[in-house]
Amino acid sequence: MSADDSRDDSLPEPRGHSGAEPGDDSRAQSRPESPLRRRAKAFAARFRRNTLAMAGLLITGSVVLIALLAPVLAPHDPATVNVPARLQGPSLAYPMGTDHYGRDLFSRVLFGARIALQVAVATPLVAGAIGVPIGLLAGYAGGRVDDALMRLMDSIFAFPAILLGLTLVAVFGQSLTNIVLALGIVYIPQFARVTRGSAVSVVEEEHVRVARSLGASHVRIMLVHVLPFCLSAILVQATVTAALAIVLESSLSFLGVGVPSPKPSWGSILRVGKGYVDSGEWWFSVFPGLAIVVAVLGFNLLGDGLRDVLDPRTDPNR
Amino acid sequence: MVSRLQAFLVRRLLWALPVLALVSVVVFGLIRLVPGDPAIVMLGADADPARLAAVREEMGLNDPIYVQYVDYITDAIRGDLGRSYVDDQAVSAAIASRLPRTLFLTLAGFFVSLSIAIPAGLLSATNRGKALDGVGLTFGLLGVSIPNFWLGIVLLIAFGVNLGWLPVAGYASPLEDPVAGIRYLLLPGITLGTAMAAVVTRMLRSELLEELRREYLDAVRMKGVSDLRVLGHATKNAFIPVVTVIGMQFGYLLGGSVVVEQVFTIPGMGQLLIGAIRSRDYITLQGVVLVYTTFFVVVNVVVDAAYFYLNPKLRGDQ
Amino acid sequence: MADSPPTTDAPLLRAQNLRTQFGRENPLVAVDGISYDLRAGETLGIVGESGAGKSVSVRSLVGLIDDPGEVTGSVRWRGEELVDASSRKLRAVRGSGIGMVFQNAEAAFDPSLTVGTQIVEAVRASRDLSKQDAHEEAIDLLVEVGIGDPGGRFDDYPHEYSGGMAQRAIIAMALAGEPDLLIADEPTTGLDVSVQAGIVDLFRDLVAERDMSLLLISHDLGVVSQLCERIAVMYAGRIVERGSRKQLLGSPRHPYTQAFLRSVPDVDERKDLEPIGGAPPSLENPPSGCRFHPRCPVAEAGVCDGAAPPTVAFGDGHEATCYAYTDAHPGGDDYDREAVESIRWDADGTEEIGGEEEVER
Repeated sequence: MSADDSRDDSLPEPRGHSGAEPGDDSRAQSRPESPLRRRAKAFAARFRRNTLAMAGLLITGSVVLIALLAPVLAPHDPATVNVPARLQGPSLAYPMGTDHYGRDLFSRVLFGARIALQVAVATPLVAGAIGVPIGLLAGYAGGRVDDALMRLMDSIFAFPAILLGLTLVAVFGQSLTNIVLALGIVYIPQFARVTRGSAVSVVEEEHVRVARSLGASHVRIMLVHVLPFCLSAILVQATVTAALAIVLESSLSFLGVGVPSPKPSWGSILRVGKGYVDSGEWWFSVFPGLAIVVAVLGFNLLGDGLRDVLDPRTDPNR
Repeated sequence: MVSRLQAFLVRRLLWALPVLALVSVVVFGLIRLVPGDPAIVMLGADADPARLAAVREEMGLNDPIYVQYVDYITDAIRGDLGRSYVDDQAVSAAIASRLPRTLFLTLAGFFVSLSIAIPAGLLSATNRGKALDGVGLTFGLLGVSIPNFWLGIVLLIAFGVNLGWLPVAGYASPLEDPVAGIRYLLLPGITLGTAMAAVVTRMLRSELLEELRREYLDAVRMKGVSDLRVLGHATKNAFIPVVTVIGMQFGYLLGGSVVVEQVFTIPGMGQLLIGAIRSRDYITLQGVVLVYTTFFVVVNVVVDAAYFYLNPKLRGDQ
Repeated sequence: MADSPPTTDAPLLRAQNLRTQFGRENPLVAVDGISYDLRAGETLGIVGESGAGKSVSVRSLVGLIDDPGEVTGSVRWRGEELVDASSRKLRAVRGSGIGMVFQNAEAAFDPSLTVGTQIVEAVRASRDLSKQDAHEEAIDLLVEVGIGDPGGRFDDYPHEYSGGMAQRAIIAMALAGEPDLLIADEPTTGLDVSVQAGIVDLFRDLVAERDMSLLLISHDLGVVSQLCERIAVMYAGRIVERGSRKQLLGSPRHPYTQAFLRSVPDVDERKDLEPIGGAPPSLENPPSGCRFHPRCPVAEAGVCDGAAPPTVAFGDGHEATCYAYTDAHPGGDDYDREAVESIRWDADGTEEIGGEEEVER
């Protein structure tokens, strides 16, 4: 939505860049690697100074660790039914209490991070795999191709994610793979739009004109000379999409059309837990939801931070 | 001026029609994409062959697909969306009884979100960098990170179960009994509206900050009017782009209502949709999605009209 | 800068040691201690290159400097202090004491309201008029500033106005409170020469008919010399020379003023232009001593880059802040003779610039 079109080419040049040859002029550059590397360095420096980004990295990093180490960290087997211990409140043995089968909610929440993370990683990959080429083509080709593709993307985007997701899952059938596929389709337009936005401004740059005059093929120009400069915007979008995908997956699971049981998706746990709200078993729904909030907040912070870092026009004090 | 607006509206509606047609084709096609014989998918493989044949005939499955589509659309325009094979109800009747509930819920969410977002955005922008701004920014970030179904459950636990102030489930029409209606809609409205409130707060804040830097505000101040009036000028102009976002968010509220209906057991369109997906009632699913879609398209047209109306440059250049 | 000689009648506006800075740690001092008086009916022009702090200085007078900016010193309007004044007092002064004409007229209008509505708002902010009366008054104002078909133009939006017409409309808005002082910030910049001439004439008529004072900010010496009896030259946040039009244009004393005069075309464009060498200094880190010394042809090392230069009076209110007229400078006080004589300028300012008057449709 915001006019991020030109953020890629306006990163500040790092000063005192050691090892820069005197003739290393950034303007008339025939090799695209060098300015990219310098941007990457400037990016790392800015990232470290950005509190939002660092906080987001810390949280998402922890979620990744938890997902990887779930078998080690979990005090109980997440699937072991223990009926006598059912619906117990939080205690030392069961830090988040137990569910209606006596399963340890803490362990289930830890394992749930694996599903959330799979969704958070796979959804942007699927959406990007389709959306990025569309955006690249639209931005590179311009004109009617651009209009047609973007009109199509806009009409998909006009529908709320949850409805599109529900309909797609209804058609595909319920499984983790199908959910990721459906979520991926839902977020294609966002990737297309962001990539197009960057591509449109990159296409105007000198190194692209040089490549064109040297007779490089369209595909090669798009992949080698345009795409790398769209990556920062795509990265931000991927982070934002990861957050949205976690919410959407847990929403679908909460509605009973998401990841099928017995997989401990946070949304599925909540779906059952909601039934025990009236009878006072609050832990059943509060803790899994908190896990969603933390994970989503982490990706959102990271996304906001990255946006600030990659867009020098943003006031860091804001 | 009015005639320009009318001309614009007519053109916009003419554009909306092909979108609707496209969507109906997609929905219709998607359901035909379901692997296997739709009749068997719906009724099960061991269903009575006579009933299967009746379903095929009723659905027109023996006709070519374009005939099926034309029949379906012709009926739909006349208000006949077919009959459900699960409960043998007319789909249009089921929708008609549930649509008002969903619309009231959506309106409640809309109202809640604007009554939070407008003051929050204004206070945040006018107190930039101060404590209040921090509160606004935090809300903007948290609001988009908390999944609405979990927020709803937490509100239920706090105000419904523990404090007992508000009903935990159900619906009463605000038209028939305003007090009960509002009591039933309050928590769902907050649940639904918070995420949109966060989005609009963020956007209003940044647009207003932009607007507060404009030169015309100095000219307004030089008239000797009150600070509030100066802010009024800035706010009005900051709102022009925000209206678009608010309108898009209205569509997302309609989507979010699916989840919120599930949390608060409100028998609206969302529950109809979820039920249809679970029982593979594709006739109902098709009808519900078509009705939702029509609403999105209508909302989009209204939003565009509002944007057009608010923006004199558009009005003048037509 | 020395205080103006004491007089019996109090000035309408008195700025004393006005200073405006932005930021605390590494402050950008846009206006660095300027002082001047403006009496009723007087016309004062402040000239200088862009970035000299002219615009900030007039915004500082009426409290238009926002948060990171900080104004110190004193601004007295009819004896009342305006720096750090209550917003109520400022509102009263802005509404009916001082009107301001902004540089970019279209940007000075709220883009989403009609021009008429905005002028009516200005009228009603300062005068207790009914909607109907305010509407009529607004039409009268549009007539007064020379907008043809004011009734039809009333309901147009700012972007539907041409540049010159928008400038006239912004003048009408500034007049809505019947001000005693009109401040004009680069009122002709960006307009065609013919349109400029029309605006200059309009200002001259308005000042005469309404008996207003005028404070004109411009980088265009031609415009200032046509409208202002007194002129002050600003460089890098300070006033370096002031005097009557005749004094400044006829015998400029400060090397910057001399260089400035040589750098702009005169009335007949009969001399060769000499751009001022070097670039205007950074206000974040200004040169020591006289701020002009890095670009000054007669700068003396060890003198001009030391302490701030003194202000030298040449009689009749003509002053320059320069070492060249003191014993500290080896050139003594006759260095300027040749420089002054090399400048020819129409010191009476009676000739018109540009051609035809603007014709409004």
